[in-house]
Amino acid sequence: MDNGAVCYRRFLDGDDSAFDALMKELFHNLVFFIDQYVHDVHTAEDIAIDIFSDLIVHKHRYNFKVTLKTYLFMIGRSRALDYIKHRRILSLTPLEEAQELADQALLEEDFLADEQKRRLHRAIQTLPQEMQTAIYLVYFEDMTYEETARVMKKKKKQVDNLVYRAKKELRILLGKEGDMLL
Amino acid sequence: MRSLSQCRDEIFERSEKRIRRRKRKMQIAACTAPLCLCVVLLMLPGMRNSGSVESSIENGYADGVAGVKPESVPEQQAIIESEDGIYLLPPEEAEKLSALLEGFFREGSGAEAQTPGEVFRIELPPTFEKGEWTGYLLQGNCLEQEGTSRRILLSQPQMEKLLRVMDEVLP
Repeated sequence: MDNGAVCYRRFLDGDDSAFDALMKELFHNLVFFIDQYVHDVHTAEDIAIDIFSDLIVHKHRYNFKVTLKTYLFMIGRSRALDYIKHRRILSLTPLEEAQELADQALLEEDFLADEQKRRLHRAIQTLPQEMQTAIYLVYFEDMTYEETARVMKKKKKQVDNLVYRAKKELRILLGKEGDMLL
Repeated sequence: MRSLSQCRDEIFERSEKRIRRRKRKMQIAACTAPLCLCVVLLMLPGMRNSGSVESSIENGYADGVAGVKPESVPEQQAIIESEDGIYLLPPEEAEKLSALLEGFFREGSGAEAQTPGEVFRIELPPTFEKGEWTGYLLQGNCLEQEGTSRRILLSQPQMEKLLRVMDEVLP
């Protein structure tokens, strides 16, 4: 059982502090992952809060067969796609836009402490969405190809191809540095 | 961006709201489900009765078609029972037949009894003058009004007239 699942089991057994540990372990990762789809930190945070509240409301939905991280990321992806499908086009005021950019930078800084990782992340953002997700899950979330395939609802081979193509593109984008990072 | 503790509070607040909403929904469902069941059970006998009339008519007990006698007959329709089967007549034909039969009793006849042939039983719907169903039994040329002692032996022209009308109305 992975660390997240252990925490969740403890929470289900009545240990409320385990939920804090669970949040510390997975919440920001989930927000960061969702943000890659919705491109709005606040919305990503909102979706992540909803997903975590699902863990409390529907206590028996998660069956402990996959890691909790994979489970949460699977829901995160589907909710993010759902949000994109149904979102209304809102015009942000310049002030809100500035705040949004500041929050985005804060999240990035918080999450990608390493400057090299940050550069890699920026390069990844120029890739097509599916490649971005695959490479992010494999390199930033340390997920296996099987777990990545589960989150993306793809076959392992497809993920393999996506990562291979993404790496190729990144090597062109980052030059020699790319070889070191990947 | 909110801090982790703020997010945690928000998560618990939302969860509580959702759990409360879910409980309320379940309570509503628990109240309405038996109510719906009761309504359906109350409506069921009525639905079954109306269904039986419709189905008996559909099964051939419609106007002028032989079939099985229904439990309830639509108003103003006459019933003729013969050895071949049971027929329903539309109100205008029933009226015609009623006038003819009543006419026979008014006219009277001095005919002699014939050998009994086919037996017909005619039931006529209530009229403005007569508030109840009237039954007649025709056996050979003997016409008898059921429930009363009225009996008449029909003459040859009267029999022909009656059979002509019945030929018109029966298929």
